[in-house]
Amino acid sequence: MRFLKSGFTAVAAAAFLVACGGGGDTGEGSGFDLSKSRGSLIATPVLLTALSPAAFQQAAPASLFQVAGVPKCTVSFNYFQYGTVGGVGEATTASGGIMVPSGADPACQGPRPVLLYAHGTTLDKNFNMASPATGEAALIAAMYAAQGYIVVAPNYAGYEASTLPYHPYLNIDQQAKDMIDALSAARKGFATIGASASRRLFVSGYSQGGSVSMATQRALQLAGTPVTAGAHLSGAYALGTFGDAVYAGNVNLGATFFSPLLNTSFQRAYGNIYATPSDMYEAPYATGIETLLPAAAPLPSGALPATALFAANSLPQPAGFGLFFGTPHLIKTSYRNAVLADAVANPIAPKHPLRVAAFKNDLLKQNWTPAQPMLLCGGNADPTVFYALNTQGAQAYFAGKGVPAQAVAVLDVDSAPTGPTDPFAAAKGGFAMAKSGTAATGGASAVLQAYHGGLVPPFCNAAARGYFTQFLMAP
Amino acid sequence: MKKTLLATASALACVSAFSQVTLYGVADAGITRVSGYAQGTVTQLNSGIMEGSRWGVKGTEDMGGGYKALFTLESRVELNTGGLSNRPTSGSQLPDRLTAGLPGAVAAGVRGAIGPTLGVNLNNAGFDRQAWLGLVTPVGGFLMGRQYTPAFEALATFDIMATQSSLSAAQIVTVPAGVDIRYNNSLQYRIVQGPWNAALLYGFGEGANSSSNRLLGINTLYKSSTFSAGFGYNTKKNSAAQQALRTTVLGASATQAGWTLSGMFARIEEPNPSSGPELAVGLGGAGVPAPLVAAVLDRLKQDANLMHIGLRYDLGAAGQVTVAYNKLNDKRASNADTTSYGVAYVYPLSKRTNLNAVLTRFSNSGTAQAAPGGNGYLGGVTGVAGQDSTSIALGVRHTF
Repeated sequence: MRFLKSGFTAVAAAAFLVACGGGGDTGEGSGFDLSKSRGSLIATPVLLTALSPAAFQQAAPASLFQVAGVPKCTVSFNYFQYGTVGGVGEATTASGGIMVPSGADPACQGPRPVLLYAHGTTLDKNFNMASPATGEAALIAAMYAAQGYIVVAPNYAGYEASTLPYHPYLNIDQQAKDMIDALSAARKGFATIGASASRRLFVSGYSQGGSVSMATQRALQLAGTPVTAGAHLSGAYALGTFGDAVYAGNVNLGATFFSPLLNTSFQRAYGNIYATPSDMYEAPYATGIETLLPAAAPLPSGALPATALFAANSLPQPAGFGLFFGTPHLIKTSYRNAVLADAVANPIAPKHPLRVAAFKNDLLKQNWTPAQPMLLCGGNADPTVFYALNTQGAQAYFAGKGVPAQAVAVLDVDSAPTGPTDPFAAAKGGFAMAKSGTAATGGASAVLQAYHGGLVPPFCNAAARGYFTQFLMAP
Repeated sequence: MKKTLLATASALACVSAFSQVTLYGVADAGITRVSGYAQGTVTQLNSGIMEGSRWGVKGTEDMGGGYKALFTLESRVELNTGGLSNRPTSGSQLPDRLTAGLPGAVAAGVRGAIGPTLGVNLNNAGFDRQAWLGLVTPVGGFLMGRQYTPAFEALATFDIMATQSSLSAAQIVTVPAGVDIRYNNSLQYRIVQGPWNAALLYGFGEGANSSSNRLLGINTLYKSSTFSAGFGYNTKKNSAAQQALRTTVLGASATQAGWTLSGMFARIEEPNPSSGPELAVGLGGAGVPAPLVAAVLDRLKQDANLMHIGLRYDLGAAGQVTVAYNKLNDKRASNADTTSYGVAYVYPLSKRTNLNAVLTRFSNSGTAQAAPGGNGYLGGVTGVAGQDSTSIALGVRHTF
């Protein structure tokens, strides 16, 4: 019996000796947070590729570095996913890129400033700011990461691997949260990808991203965690005013694509833009339009009218905007007329749901006063995002709020340098050269086509980086 | 009823040779109800709950002087379909931790590469369970073919469930596998000395170089009617000759007055994924950049401890009741820890036919996602990481 007892004891001891342990190990390999909670880092960021200065220069066109400068740092392109919310606060996920500088140059050493960057409108659902194959990602990498900034660039909810079935386009509450959640998640992964952040945080973005970056600056200010400075480039800040202008017939280039993105975003958020898409859209387009954009594959030709937002016989038609009236067209005249009637009857306090939504997401109707400095950059002849309404509108709005002029710098890259001390002389000169080059080969229509998406971005981004430099030195 | 075929030995050359071939098998089927899958609770008829349904032939020829020839050919049979293979209830779904946080196209590539490989005997081998020929000599036995590995033999010995049902310790280490159960192209040397036996197995990798895919296994087990103890060890290289899955098992059991207590500890290490080189080629061919391929492979590595304790009471004619507790502690940052526990009851209708009932709870924490399966099939994964599962199985087993 002694033997049997000792046998039992041995088995029990063997089992209980190893019963301890378990729980939250932090060993090797990827860590995970699959909660989808706001700002959660879903998995340890993964490296897609790293480009040395030489490799980057070889991979990208020389013109990029003429504006951005010779790269100083190796840039690691990391991909990450984070938990955030959709347009009505529903938990979801999104992805983005973290560009990390490294190298022997002093600009790449020690704690680096962080740029939170908001990309412009894209119809490509697979758009990915983590990949240098994406043009906008390469531009921002050259402009910032290769010069020593850590860049956090979300793809936004509804893009790439996001589980959200739509994109909350220009929903400023959601988009600011999306940006802030991406930053929170990225910071959780910084240590694992060799990113050492200083306390400087800059926020910037272009086009849609210009609106988003301004919304983010505002949200971070309200949250008590303000940015160091912002640079908002060619953004649609005055969405309500801008929308009224479009419905009045001053249609912007690309409106037939922006309109469904915006309408779907608002419909998802507020549910009252229409009872059914055919209330708003003409028959060939109404079916499936809520899931058309962003698109995982190139849109078939004719999926949307190229420019005809309104019917050929829809009025008013301001001079010079004939391109945007035609057959077939996207928006039903009855819907346009209802919007127009509300704009006349209730110019300040809209009642039509589309105008209510646009005003709600108008950054110049939020009664806020920026407490941190910002640069507003654009080009005065932008056919896609109107400069006067948006950039100058913002300038006037902030001046009206008592923000000192030196706290809101405004740059029209499509203007002559004011003199030898103009800090933006290089951006203006570069833009002028690029514009005249485009005009020489393609004429005025080529300039129009390239203006918003091609000509302005490098120079506004270069100006933004120059603008941020002054905040790097202060204690 | 054993269908024993007596060979016409006298017609053959060997004077004293006595040879026999036996047809044998297990038919095991029942109804299972398992909660926690992506599709919810699933009720189905399953084959191989307590033991994988099978039929086989085995033979021995005693050549005298301590020499014997023997062979086993054992085929899997799925009673629910009549087929040779099966797939988990969760299909091609992978644990979230293999794809979470990866770019959409890469995650899809991983799903496409690994998902369809989940299952049992998907290449439909005719004698997937065992196929070997052995020669017993006075200095030990030599077995050649597809055989159970030494570490698995130890695990099955000290698992109170002997790998039966969802309550087995092995059920919480299936995706990815925590132990190589069987190995092709294996040469095994076995010795038996009274209650002691020991095995040394070499699985020829037959790959690009001599160590590609090779598996080396060793065990030594002491088994008496009242006490057992032993250890088993497998170490495998993948096709690139990198150290792949390595499993070390230590265990003991004791029996007294109808009670049997069994305890086991297993160390599971996979510093390089067993199928890593093939997966890397597939992902690379699909355009996945090299750093991402490395990130994917990293997620298939294992570093975990498996602990098991079980207690059985033999009720005699009224059957056996067993309770068990299993815990997998994932030591990597993925922290995929699974605990399972439950009770199994086996009631003998006759010597060869019994009824069985098993209730098992799988508690998944962190990114763990294990779903309860059966001896002959994989449970797969629950709906999402951290989702628990309860399995109820009622079955009949007949051995012949």
